[in-house]
Amino acid sequence: MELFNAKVHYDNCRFCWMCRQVCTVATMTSDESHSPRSRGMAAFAVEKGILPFDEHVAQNMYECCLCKYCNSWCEGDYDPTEFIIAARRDAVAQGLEPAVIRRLKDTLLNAGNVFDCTEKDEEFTRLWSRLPSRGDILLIAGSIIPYRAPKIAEASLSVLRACGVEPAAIDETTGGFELYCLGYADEARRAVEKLTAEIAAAGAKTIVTLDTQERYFLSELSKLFGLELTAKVLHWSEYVSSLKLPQLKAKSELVTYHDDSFLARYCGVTDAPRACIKAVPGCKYQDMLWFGEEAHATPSALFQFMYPNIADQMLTRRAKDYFKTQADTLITGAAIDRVNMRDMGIKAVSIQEYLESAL
Amino acid sequence: MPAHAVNKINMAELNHNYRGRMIISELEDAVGIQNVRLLDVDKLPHSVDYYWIPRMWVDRGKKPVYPDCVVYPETTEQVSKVMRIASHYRIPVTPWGGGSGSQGGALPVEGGIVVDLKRMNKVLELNTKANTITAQAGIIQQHLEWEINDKGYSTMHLPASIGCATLGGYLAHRGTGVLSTKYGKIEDMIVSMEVVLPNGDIINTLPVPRNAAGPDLNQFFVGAEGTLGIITTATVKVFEHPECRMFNAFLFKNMHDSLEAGRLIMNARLQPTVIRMYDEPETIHQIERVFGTKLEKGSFLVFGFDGEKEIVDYQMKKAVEICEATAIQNLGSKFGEQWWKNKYKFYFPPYCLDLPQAYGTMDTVATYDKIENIYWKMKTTCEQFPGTRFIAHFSHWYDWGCMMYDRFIVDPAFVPEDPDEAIRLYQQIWTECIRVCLDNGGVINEHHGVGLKLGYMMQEQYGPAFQVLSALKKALDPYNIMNPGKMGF
Ligand SMILES: Cc1cc2nc3c(=O)[nH]c(=O)nc-3n(C[C@H](O)[C@H](O)[C@H](O)COP(=O)(O)OP(=O)(O)OC[C@H]3O[C@@H](n4cnc5c(N)ncnc54)[C@H](O)[C@@H]3O)c2cc1C
Ligand code: SF4
Ligand code: SF4
Repeated sequence: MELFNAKVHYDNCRFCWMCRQVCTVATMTSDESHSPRSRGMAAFAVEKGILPFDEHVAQNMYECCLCKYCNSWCEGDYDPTEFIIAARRDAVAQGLEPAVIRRLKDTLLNAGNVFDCTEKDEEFTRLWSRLPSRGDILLIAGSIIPYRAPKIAEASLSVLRACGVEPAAIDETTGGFELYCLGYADEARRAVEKLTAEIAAAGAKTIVTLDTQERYFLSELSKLFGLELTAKVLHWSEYVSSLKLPQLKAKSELVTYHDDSFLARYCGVTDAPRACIKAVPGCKYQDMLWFGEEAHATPSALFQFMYPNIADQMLTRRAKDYFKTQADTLITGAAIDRVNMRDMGIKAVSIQEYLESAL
Repeated sequence: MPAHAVNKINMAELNHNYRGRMIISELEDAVGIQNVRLLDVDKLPHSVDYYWIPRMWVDRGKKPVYPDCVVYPETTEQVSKVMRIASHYRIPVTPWGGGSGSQGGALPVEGGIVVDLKRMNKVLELNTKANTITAQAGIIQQHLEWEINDKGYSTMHLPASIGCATLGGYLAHRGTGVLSTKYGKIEDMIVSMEVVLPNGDIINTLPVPRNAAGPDLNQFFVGAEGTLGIITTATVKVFEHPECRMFNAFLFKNMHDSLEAGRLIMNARLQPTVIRMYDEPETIHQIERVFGTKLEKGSFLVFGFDGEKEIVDYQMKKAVEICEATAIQNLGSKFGEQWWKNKYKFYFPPYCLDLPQAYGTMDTVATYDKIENIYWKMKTTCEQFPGTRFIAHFSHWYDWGCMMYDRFIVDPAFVPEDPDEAIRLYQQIWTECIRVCLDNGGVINEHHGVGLKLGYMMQEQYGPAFQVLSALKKALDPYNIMNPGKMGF
């Protein structure tokens, strides 16, 4: 089983209680079997033949939002998501994945996104089709913005142009990383291979991702998929914080920023978005109590479709953190957070929209 | 053996036993279908706590003792309903908080129902006049702490297991935190509590902990490890954040000198928040390993004070003077603060003790005149076992004595592969060490509790006095359904 390749992680987690308090799902559900220790023990028990690897163990391994809070808290740098994803691959190989997961796979294969949208937003398509498909700087919009938040693409471009950058872009549609998270390794590889080939054809030196999940998986192509990209991968905030910005309009509102799991915990990028925000003259900035790598996790779009109840609780908790700051605006790095927080009635803008509003 | 037989319904045979299925339906009715678990993947984590034996058992590929089902009540009334059902059918009930106990206290060794309290995790009231907080007992202590930290308060109960253990679990085991030397153990922090008795009745202790209205009911249930009832809510003290907190570390030639320095600090009534002193082997084993700093051979001691700056400055000055009289090196405040920052790191893999070693924390407490002698006697006894080391640090200090966090570690090469043989060796080490401790005036133990691990020594430790505890147990739980097999009941 693939699970056994992640033995070093579950062997250390199986009898360790040290990150339960931060485990997002275990905190939301208060369920003992959701703690990293319990999942590690289940993996070990499978190895020892104490527990059969059945649909219940598989289900347990899917009930994780892959936020990596456990790993970032761990003094030994062990990582439960390593054995959780391996177990998902085994579940897929043995046909043990829950029905909801199978449906999501079909959606991803069919539409390339979790929303089951076959058409991208018109505004987005118009904007993107006008950009060259080859160039040194290549924008990757990701799997949320073209369907749910086209304004972020527009804002991204406006800011870049104001800095004198004329980027290229390709019309990528891939559910590759989502398929990887669900344990569909082969399908994921095929989808990402196609994307990688398109990116390579664009001849870019720097890939700038507008969303955060892409920042992670495109920089880890070799580890995750055995693929290579020569271009450097940066999140939009990293790239923009390295540019000379034009004179920006002053703003007086109090703002805060939500560090999402992909940018903060997976990539360790926490300063760049703050640098972008603080570049706005007069900006009053206040971190939430839980920020940086310790920010309370919000759900990925994928997890929202997997376990909506848990995802809702995660959002409610983060919204409470935001309200405690008494900030006027919540700034997000991940597009899905901007979408969800707006749905909750919060004044949320993406980092790109925030800077654009100061142009 | 349990004091009185349990007439257990075999609910495990659900498919073949319609009576079992009917009882499960009653439980589902009591707590909601979503709060009753019957799957092995849910039972497995409830069959292994922090105790070495079940961990070794699983490590050797053996199936541990599963409960028949796990329930997650959300209210006191639901706990009461579960207890009434269990009491009617005489089904064993084991309360489960975080399962972080090291004594096997939460293991459902007789099967039956595990009552996992973690869904009872609400903060009910922060009373800023009385400086108390009332919460449901299943709240993870760290969550409780975080909840009040940004309001300017702390429970000051900060054990190394703060992230995984529950308020109820600490009360049940008489837990202690790193700041206990000033702020007390959990039994000093309890104000009042609500308890569900084995028959399902819900009772409250008196609203204040200091009174002369008879024996203290709080203290019947604190340390009872769920054998007398289930603690469902508790009111404990809170403290405003101190203006400052300072630390200083020293290196002494040997443990004798550092122990004496600690005693003198306590005798001077300086009120340190913490004194932690490591014997020579542990100074090398833990301090150097975790901090990555090479120290001269000796015994490491760190202390801290908190409160108003002016007072803390004075306390620090006095304590430094005491230590400087005999220490070989003043490691300064930076080293002290580094220790404070890393205080939980010792418990993460790869820094913590783990299989394939065999190990046990004996957690011994005694008066100052006896503790050093007990240390050497236990060390000698322990190290007679082949491949066995004994290390200790001294964590919780009182006016009259202190607590020794003494551990034995058996090298993997000397731990039998056969699990039965491993248990035999393990029990021999425990029994001999405990006897030496008891014979020399010590008590096993100070804050880990009794559980399954030490239940068999309770009669020996208490002598005829144990009948008082037995009588209390019999009166409240005539069928021994509450956490059977623990505390010597
Ligand atoms: C890494 C680590 C570090 C530790 N450090 C410390 C430390 O610094 N200080 C310390 O004191 N302990 C420490 N411990 C031990 C452990 O955390 C404590 O014993 C704690 O009290 C257990 O709480 P729990 O909620 O995990 O209880 P559990 O292990 O679930 O249960 C312990 C006992 O209490 C009973 N119980 C649980 N909840 C209730 C309830 N609501 N009502 C009645 N009975 C109940 C159970 O039946 C069982 O007998 C440590 C443990 C670990 C794993
Ligand atoms: S991730 Fe680290 S802290 Fe969490 S259970 Fe695993 S080993 Fe322990
Ligand atoms: S990735 Fe997140 S939800 Fe999953 S085990 Fe780790 S902390 Fe828990």
